[in-house]
Amino acid sequence: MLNSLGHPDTLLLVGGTSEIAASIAATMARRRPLHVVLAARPSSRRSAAANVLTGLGASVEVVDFDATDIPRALEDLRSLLARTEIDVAVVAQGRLPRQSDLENDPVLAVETCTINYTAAVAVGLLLARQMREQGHGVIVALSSLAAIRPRRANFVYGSSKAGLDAFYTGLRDQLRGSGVRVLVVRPGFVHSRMTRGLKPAPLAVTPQDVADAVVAAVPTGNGTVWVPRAARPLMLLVRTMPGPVFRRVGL
Amino acid sequence: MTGTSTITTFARSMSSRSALVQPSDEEHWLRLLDHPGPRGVTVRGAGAGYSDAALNSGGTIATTHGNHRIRAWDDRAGVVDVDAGLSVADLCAFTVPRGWLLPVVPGTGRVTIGGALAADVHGKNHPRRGSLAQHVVGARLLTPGAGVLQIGPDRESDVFWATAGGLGLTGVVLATQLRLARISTSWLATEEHTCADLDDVLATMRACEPSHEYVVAWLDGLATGAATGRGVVSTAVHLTADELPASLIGRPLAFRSAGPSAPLPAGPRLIRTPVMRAANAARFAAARRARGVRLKGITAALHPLDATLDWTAAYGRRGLIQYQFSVPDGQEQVLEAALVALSAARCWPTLAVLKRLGDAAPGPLSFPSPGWTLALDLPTAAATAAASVLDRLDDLVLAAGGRVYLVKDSRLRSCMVPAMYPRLDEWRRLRNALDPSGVLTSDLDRRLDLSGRHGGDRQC
Repeated sequence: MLNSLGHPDTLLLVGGTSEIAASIAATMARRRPLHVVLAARPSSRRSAAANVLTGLGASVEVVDFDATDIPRALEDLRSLLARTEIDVAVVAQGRLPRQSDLENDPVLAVETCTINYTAAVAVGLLLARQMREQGHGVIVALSSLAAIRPRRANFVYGSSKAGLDAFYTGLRDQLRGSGVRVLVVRPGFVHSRMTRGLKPAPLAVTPQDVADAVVAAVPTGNGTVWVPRAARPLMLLVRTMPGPVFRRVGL
Repeated sequence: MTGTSTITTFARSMSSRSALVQPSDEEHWLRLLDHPGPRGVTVRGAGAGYSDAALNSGGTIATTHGNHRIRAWDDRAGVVDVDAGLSVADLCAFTVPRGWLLPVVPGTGRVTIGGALAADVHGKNHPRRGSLAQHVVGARLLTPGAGVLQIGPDRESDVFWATAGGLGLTGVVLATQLRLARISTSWLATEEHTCADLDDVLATMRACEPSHEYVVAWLDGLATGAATGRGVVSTAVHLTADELPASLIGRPLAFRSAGPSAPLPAGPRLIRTPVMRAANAARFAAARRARGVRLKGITAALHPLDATLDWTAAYGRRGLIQYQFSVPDGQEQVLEAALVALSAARCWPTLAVLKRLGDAAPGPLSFPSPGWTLALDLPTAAATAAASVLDRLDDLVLAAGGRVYLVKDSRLRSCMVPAMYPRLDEWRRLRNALDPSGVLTSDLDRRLDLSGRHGGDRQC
């Protein structure tokens, strides 16, 4: 249960080795005792993430989750949800290959879309059903500013996030009144492992900035979380910009 | 199961979706407990609690609204047998004109007798009268695992004491037999004493205790510095018939309940710091001017918040939380520390009420224990920003040998409960024997893992 001040007792991280997900978990665990379920592929990164959270006093459980094997991943998640009541679930699995690699390798592009979008759809539907039955819950979906308007520099990644964004925005409306809330988080460029070596875009933020915004929105939020907040008016501008202008600005 | 609805706590700070049912008779209750559904059943009385003890997200909430009769009345012994869904105010409306009063009256008359027993409520006279359960002769308890039990302090006493303060998790209380106290009038002589700081309040309360049935202090939660904890100590004593003024001689046992309160939709948040500051200053000044004894009826004296207006609406959409804890005598510094810490965090208590507590009742989860209890109303948004301050206060309270009142709680860490209630394991064993498959639950049970069935063995 979320308590009256919006603190969860259990937190599920799908894509548990994501730096943003890890920051969210660490921020919550620093405040209060927390049970964290890390759903990710078995790896040293997953063990390291678990160790960090254990060090913060959280109890940690790991579940195998491979976004490229959806039937299997769903089965493992389903059995987790049957035994552990999840208060907040963060859908954070994602990949950001170089755009040039994606353009040269359609198989890699499909795999990226599977991880970023298709798997998120499967997980979202599963979480929605379970949380609707338990009558409460918060789903946090990590979208991106790249979902707002495709740029030629990263439109493959952007299209996968646009799909995720549309799906969770619709899911939020569908769950309205069920006791389950959905937060669609749209961060700008995030300094992280995933973006290492890339040139930071304007409005760059850190995983901790995203975590702070999410943690602040969990108690009552049921909508879109822009990180930073200034991204919201700016993206309105970007969205309405005529094509020729948009291309010339070369965002 | 038919449709579900969103149920919100009285304090408006928590809500969840549940299916609502209103069993009408014992058979209906039995059927319900036999077919509880995957998320179990929560028994709900008036819904006047601050916590989620009467919420059951995704499950079934069964209200006792359909059960509010006075089943039997023995006017020689002063014993009344009532359905669990009868409200304290309605019970008073029946007994007061007959010259009897519940010896323990909680701060609101809106709660049901079943709910009051499940919380083992106390009044403003705990050192003299103890908690509600200490005036219960017997109760009829419907349990999922052991059928219908007749329980009381001298019959199935361990089940009885597990039920008193058991937050509705041991069974469904169908009926309760209560032993009332004789009153010769329904009027109280009330006095107010203004106190400049917390020490003054504590000394005044101690001084008033031996000679007054009811003693309670209102503290100005916004006072700081040397004035921290300043407040108004209110006392009340029952008048005897020969003390009545001429104007009341014709109606010595008059009783007027507060009437129904229509729930209002959450309005704009009117309760803001400058408003509270002005209101508290006015309250303090009024008490200073009003010298001498004032006569009040039972409702006005003991249920001052039962106005017909739904005051929780003024807290806005997120409502309020109440933080109520106890500390033993000698640990008064925790009371001051709480006021100081909350004001430093700019989480001003909008209402602060201090009472004395006497000896504890035998119930393993019963709240009162000798010393003091401070109840603080906090706007939810301010409390959210000060969440870690409240957690640190829990640590202070625990270290001082005190505890947080579970029926008011909405934010305690579950790991604190076994330490604050050291007999939790004993209670769990009794509870789990009465309800082995965990039919009875609540959001409070899940959040604090009271029953030990929700895997909440977190470390603090």
